[in-house]
Amino acid sequence: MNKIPFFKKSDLLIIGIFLLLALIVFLPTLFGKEKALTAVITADGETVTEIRLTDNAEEEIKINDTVIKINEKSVFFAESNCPDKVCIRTGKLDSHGDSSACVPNRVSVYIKGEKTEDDIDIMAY
Amino acid sequence: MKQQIKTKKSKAVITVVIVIILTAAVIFFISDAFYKTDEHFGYAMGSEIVVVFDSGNNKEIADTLFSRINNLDTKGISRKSADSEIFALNKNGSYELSEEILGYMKQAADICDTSGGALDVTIGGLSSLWDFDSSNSILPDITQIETEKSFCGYEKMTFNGYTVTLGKNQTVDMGALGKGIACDVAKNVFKENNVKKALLSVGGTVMTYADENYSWGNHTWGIAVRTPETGDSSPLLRINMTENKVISTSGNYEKFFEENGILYHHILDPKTGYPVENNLKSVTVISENGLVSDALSTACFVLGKEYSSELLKKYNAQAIFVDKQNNVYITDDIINSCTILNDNYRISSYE
Repeated sequence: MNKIPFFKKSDLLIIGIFLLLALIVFLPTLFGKEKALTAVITADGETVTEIRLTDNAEEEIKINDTVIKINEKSVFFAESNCPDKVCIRTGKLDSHGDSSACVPNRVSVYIKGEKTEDDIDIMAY
Repeated sequence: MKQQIKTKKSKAVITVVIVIILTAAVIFFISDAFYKTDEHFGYAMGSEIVVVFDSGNNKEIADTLFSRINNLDTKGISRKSADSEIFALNKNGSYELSEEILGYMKQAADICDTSGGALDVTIGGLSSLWDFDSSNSILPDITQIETEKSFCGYEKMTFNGYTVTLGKNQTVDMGALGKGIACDVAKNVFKENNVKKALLSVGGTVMTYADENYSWGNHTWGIAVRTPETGDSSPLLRINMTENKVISTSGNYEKFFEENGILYHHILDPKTGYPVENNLKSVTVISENGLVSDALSTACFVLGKEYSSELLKKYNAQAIFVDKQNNVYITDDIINSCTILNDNYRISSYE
């Protein structure tokens, strides 16, 4: 019997094309325009909303007597009826792994997103 | 002819299988590169808690963690919760503690002693008087400060078996250690639940955790320490960590009030009864043990940069001191793992 190679050149070509297609589909996510961060806003331990911090993001969230503002690529507590105002004093958050909370009102903000080795995992304070 | 068709068919099948496997591999690689994590948020001990697991869905473990920290506070070390052991100790002046809480008290008393009273857990009376958690903190009356100060003194506290007895009119405040102890409790929860790798923040006190079998390879945790200024949440510096540690910061920029143009921040000097006055903005201490890390960050803030080195050495802890001239002093054992991220600050060696 004549030995026929299991894969002919044309087979390999088809496999190659499929792989290329798969890569093309996922490439944009790999080298996406820029890394997008997401602000996770939670109240009473439950996630209320997640908002992408893009160039022209502009939003105001009122929850548990606090007002959280999203402005361009940052998020911060703008108003709160809490006694200590630690949440407002914290200022704008814009780094991966950063978080801030209004403990008396049980509202917190955490920034998550696509992370590379150079990014910060978490903020200590 | 038949034979050929069969081969073609099986070839087609194998091709499809290979493509599926390769595509799956590509997707897996991509999602791995993006480091999909599993975050959970909770409140306990008057702090927000963030726990970030490396992968999977760990809601149950997170809920266990939040309730254990809440129990530690409300049944254990809170001085305000009527169900807690410390509340009972403060109320009765003498109380038989559980083994767990006694352990924390003994560890704390040890640090009070080694720090020469820079940390003092019997400062409760002064803490209540200043009341930095309230919305309308005011400068207390000087005679009241003197009175409460005279009640302080860890050395008046005695241990007998499980029973702790306080000095006259003394009350215990574990506030300077609470978040650190919460990290130690969390470490046990992670171990019990076979968590491979996780990050925890209890109100900014951070713990890095990986089990003994974790191979670090080139991976490091990137922990940032926040700039110690009011209203500036930008990172001051980055520490690369490849070990299980707890990172605690004490600073004068978060809790304070102003009266007659003077800022009164929340770190009290047990020797004066007033907020610590020195040249520091913040002290960050890194230790394997949460209680030690938290307690030392307060003790070192009170002692100041010059007088802290012995204490740090004794507990094998690392530290970062930031002074009011924006100098960042870092102990030699971690200085090479740190990178400054805020241009207004500069690194110096802590000799």
